[in-house]
Amino acid sequence: MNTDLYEDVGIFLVHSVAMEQEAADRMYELAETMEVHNNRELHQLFTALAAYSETHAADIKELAEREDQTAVLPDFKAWEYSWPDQESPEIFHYAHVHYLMTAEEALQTALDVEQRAESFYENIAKTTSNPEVKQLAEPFAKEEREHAKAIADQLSSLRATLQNDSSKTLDQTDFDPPHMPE
Amino acid sequence: MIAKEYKSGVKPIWCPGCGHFAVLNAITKAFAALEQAPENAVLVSGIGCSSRLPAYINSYGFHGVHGRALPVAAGLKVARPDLNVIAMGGDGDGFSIGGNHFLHACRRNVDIVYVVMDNEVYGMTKGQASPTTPEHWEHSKLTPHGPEVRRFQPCAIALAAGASFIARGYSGDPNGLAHMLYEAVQHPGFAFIQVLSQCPTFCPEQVQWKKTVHPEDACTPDPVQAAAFLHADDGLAKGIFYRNPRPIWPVKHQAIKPANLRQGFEI
Repeated sequence: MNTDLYEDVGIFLVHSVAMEQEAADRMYELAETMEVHNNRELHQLFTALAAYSETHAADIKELAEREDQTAVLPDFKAWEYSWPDQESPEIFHYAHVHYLMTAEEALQTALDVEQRAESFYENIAKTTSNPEVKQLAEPFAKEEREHAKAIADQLSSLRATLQNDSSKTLDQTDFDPPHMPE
Repeated sequence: MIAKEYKSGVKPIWCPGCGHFAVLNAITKAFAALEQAPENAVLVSGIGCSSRLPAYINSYGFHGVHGRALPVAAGLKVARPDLNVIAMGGDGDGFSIGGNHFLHACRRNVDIVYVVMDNEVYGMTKGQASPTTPEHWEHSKLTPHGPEVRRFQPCAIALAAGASFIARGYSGDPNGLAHMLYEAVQHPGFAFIQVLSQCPTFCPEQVQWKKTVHPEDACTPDPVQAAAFLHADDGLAKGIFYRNPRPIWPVKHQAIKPANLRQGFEI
């Protein structure tokens, strides 16, 4: 990882905006896919999650402008960002998605994603020697923690509903299974 | 233009979790970095799930005949060398139905990019073994003991046939793939990118690629070194493996202009 991410306010902020915006774009893409495949429940869920990330991205952009109105955030190419993994920590990886996905699985993955984002900001807040970066990273981590808690509550509530009312359990019978026509 | 402005607005009908979404995003990111004018880019494809991709990009596109993306793309580039031509398709389209075109496109070294979204299966026809299917993959009832045939080795064959840029990307790393595309577009000559693009519907085991695909810093202009690397390769290394510009076809004195083409068809 590029250590400038931990020390330079502009580079930290540009990573934060990209992280939220990419998270929102991926969620909207998943929402659209679920709509195409007639899974209305997940379409609504991913749309709501996307809207949250998009709002957060807008808030960070506004904050960056407020911090220094003359500041221009650096313009990075997609591969020039410095993430701990191949994609940003808040991205919903394609490997977790499939056509029989349930709301419970989607929320569990969304929770993991938010927790990764929280750790990312926490790690920066702990490691940086720049007090300005620390001052920004700490509330960002708190915000991710709050979002993770909201998703965890939603997940618990869904699990309780599924336990108490079996009619709400998604029928996972695959009426058009892969490899069928052979 | 920013990356998402290169999307056409047509909603992809790929399965949720399909790796081709990552390739679509990588192309838009590469185009944004290249500041590609949409009217100067053409995406040419064959037939299959992945070959739907040109419809989803805001540029010119040609969704053509099964296995024939490369001759269309080469013809287009020869007639309109000013355009940025990217051919694409899947492993069945590119290595089986279009296998012969693949060999000769590598050999001719026309200045185009060829992206093969390799999910090791015929997805559109519901999951039969393709040229890159593992030898003992037993999930298709047509090949209950697996295809029992040695797998096609796209990168090694591209090298042997004369491709001048050879790389392998992974759909789990769209940013790395965007970088590869960025380099491939700027490479003078035939640039081949094999993309390990997971099929969560017919090959759900490919989600393991997230753990097993590994980066390799093996790029060399030396074909002997590249051959040694590719013959020892486990098929899961990602990176640019070979880059060695050589004269592109058609050579300058043969440059074909549309007016000359028309003259050739006069009776």
